[in-house]
Formats: sequence, C-alpha cells, structure tokens
Amino acid sequence: MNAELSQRVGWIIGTHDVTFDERDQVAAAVVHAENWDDLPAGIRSLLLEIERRPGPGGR
Amino acid sequence: MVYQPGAAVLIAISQSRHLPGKHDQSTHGRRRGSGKYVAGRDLIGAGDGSELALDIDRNAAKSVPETLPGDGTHRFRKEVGDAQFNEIARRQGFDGKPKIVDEKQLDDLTKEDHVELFRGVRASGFWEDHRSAADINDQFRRGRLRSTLGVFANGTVYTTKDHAEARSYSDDSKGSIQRMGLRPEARVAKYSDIKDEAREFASSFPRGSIEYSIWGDPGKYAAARGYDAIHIDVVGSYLILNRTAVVAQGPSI
Repeated sequence: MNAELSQRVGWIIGTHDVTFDERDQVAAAVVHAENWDDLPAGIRSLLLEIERRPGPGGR
Repeated sequence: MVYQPGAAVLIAISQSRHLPGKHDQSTHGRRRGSGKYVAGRDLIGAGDGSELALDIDRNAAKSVPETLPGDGTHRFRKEVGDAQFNEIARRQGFDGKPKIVDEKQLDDLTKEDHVELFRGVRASGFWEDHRSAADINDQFRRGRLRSTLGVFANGTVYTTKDHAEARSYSDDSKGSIQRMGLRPEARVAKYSDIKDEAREFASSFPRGSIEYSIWGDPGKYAAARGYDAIHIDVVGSYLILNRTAVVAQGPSI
C-alpha cells in the first residue's frame, strides 16, 4: 500500500460516514494502487462523492 | 450580568456532567501508570450504544479547538486525529504511554512472547505539522495521543510485522521507524470478525447520525468493546488501539 495514498484515502474514509461495503471496495482498491490516478475510475468517483457528504450529525 | 438564583448550580452541574446523586464513573478517564498495561473494558455492554455515542461525541467536540486544520467539524483535526476515538481511548485508559525499553530489552521480549511490530512514518505535509519523522515517533512514545484515520478503521497507529514494509512507509530519516512489541496479554480482534460485529451493531442507526459515525467505524467500535488491537488479516497489519498494550523501543530507529 502506498503511504501517501493511504493517508489521503484514510482521511476521506475516516472523516465521513461510509457503508461497510463502500469501505471494503475502497480498501481492496487502495491495497493494489500506487497513487490516486492508479485507482479505478469508479473508486475515485466514489471517494469524491464521499468527500462531499456532510460530517457527523449532518454538519 | 444579572444574577439568577440557581444559575451557578446549573452551570456547575452542566460543567461536571454529573447529576446530583448520580455520579457516573464511566465518563472519567482511567488511571494510567507510567508504562503499565491498562486493560480495556466493554464500555457498551448490553446497551444499544446510543447514549454512550452521544456522550462520547459531546466530549470529543469539546476537546478540539476549532482553529486546528481539519474537516470542518469538531471531530477530526489533523493535530489530534479522530477526537471521537481519542475520547474512547481516554475513557479506557488507552491514551496512557507505552513502556519504553532499549533495543536489547525488546530483543528479549520479542524472543519470549511479544509480537514484534514496526511503524514507519514520514515528515510529509499531509498531517500539516511539519515535524520530523523522529518527532512524530517520539510523540507516540511520550506525548499526547494523536490517533490516525485509516482505510480499514481509525485507531492509534498502524503497524506491521514486516520491517521492509514499515520502511516503505517511512522517509528513511533517522528515527523514522518505531520498533515495538505487542504484549502477550493484549486482546486482539481479527479485522473481518470485528468489522462484521460493528456492521451489525451500527445497522440500527441511520447513516449520518452521530451514533453511526462512531459505531460504523470498526476501530472505535473495537476500542469501546475493550480490544487493544485489530489484526487486519487481509494485509497483515496491526492497528494498535491501546497505546499501553505495546512496549516501545526508545529512541526510534
């Protein structure tokens, strides 16, 4: 797993509500990627969508 | 300011969060001996976790200055990590310090019964603290708890049994690898198991709720259940939840 990528994706996943299935999908992709562009397009889109979700309690 | 009879009492109650005659010890942090292992408890028990989650979140939100860089809420700030996790750790005593030993002592412990683990760090700009890798590892050994946010779960630090893998996470500077041993008495959850348990437990709360933000994370769920670490079997990493469950080599290598 790439250090920079795991930090970036870990922050996105760790600060937003995700389903367990989404977490599994992202984890499976990140393990095999070397950088952001290396992630499958569907995963990149999912992460950008997660990033737009409100934080805990709707804030 | 207009004096209001009873106001001082109300303020005192709200600040202490203890109702008269109902002094709840569970909200206190636990005693941390220097370098002593503090075993976790099951904070959730048979409850549904709703009241506990809201109380954890209230304290988490209060603990973090708004001025720190983060996600725009009070819960996640790069200087402290995940404040909700930190609050669970505080209640469990998991924010205590690890026992610090020298290289030879850790050699002996890992030969005996401790699991040898490595954590590689780098002075990257992501966490926005502009410190050296050695300083980041020093904070893990001796400083205030700063949790991490991960793809698999949030917790204290991600570690690996593989020195070469830890090195790939480091910036190769002096002190950028922290060697440690996981104590044999540590309660370790298997990631796939604890994730399934958290999934079922969190399913009664809507996404977007405070409760889901806590119990929907396998790391916060496991820490509240009293686990010291999670073995992420799919990649072979160990996510440490309880800092007192490890013995750390000092200084880092």
